[in-house]
Amino acid sequence: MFQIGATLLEACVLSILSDGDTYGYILTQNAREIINVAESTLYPVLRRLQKSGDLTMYDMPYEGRLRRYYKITDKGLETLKTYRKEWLVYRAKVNRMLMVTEGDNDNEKV
Amino acid sequence: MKKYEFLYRLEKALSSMDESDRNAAMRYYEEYFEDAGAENEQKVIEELGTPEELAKTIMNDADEACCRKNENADSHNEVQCGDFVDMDLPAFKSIQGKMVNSALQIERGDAYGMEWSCDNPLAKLEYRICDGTLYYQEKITPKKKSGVNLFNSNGGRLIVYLPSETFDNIAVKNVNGSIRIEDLMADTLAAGTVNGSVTVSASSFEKTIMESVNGSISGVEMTTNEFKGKTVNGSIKVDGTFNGNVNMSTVNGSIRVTTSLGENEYNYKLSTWGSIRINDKKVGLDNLIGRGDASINNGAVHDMNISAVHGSVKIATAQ
Repeated sequence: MFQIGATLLEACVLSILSDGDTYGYILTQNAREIINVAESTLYPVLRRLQKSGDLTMYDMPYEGRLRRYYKITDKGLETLKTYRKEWLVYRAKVNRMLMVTEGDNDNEKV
Repeated sequence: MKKYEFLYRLEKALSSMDESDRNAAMRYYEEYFEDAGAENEQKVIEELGTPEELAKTIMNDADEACCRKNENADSHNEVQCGDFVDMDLPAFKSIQGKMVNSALQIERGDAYGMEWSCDNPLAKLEYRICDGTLYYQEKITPKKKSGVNLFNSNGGRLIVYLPSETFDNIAVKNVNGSIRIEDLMADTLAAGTVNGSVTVSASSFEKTIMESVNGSISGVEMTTNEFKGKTVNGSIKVDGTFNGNVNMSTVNGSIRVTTSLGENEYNYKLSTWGSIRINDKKVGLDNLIGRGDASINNGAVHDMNISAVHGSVKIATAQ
């Protein structure tokens, strides 16, 4: 219902990676909770984060092929911190705007 | 559709990308399918959408990333002459381009795209889309060895296809090649060439500039609120609805204007060594030796300033 912006998507990817390195398919499954069908591919997000130095990648052998893992960098951890702070501010604003109902006690918030 | 068909089509749709970028993208999706497992193949195909749409998403994002970082301002796509180039493009609102030895055509298509055909192996086309503008430039690598270049090139042709949208600024330049534009609606058009004609049809712009040196200027079914047409060796012939300022000049060529506005809706400043006619009435100094200058102030809102040297001027308005 609510469109998820590119920045929020990046923040979520970094958050998932801060829990541990992982590869594209698993990353996508984890992000499924908020990713909707229209943005069902993380590749552009991962590419952007790599170019901005927020994540890096490495290959691990798996069943006769190489599997590419993504890893958050120190810069990425800093970026994530900033995103988390920004998110709290944003969430509070949306809450104030959306959750206050007219006609009720002005101080009452859901 | 099976996985191999999907990946094949995806790679094809990404063909305008840099090779290393394309390989990186292909590798991601190949691995994605592998990691999802054969049992999830159809599910993955459904979730990714069509390969062509996916390619657009990837390229769109690549171009945005290119613009976001100023250090990457030089990063562009490049195609060498020789292969027939025919590609879809992500959406854009403006065009800024320069060709050297290729004609340019802008016309209606189902989607954004371009085709480039050329026969000079030393030529290449650089292009990128940044902040909603398509930038392109034809570059000719100079031959390193000195000596007579016996290679005879007829010049190439670039066709840019645009869907039915209103665009912002279209600025297209050419050196040796004509410019032909059809069915275009935009805020501004600036089309200029040195050797070649500039032709615009069924189009409308707030502001229009059409320029040539050796070539004619022609507009059919045009609507504009400000017009400037200029050439040296060539005639100017336009018809349509011309509001605001209309400025035309040529040296060796005649000027013909047909406008849907009424005769008294313009103030006129007209000058040539040839004859001047407005709605078939001769105006200006009836002078066998001198210039036929005519200056008519109708207290109108619109102005028509026309100057030729060795050609006649004919203006037809609504009666």
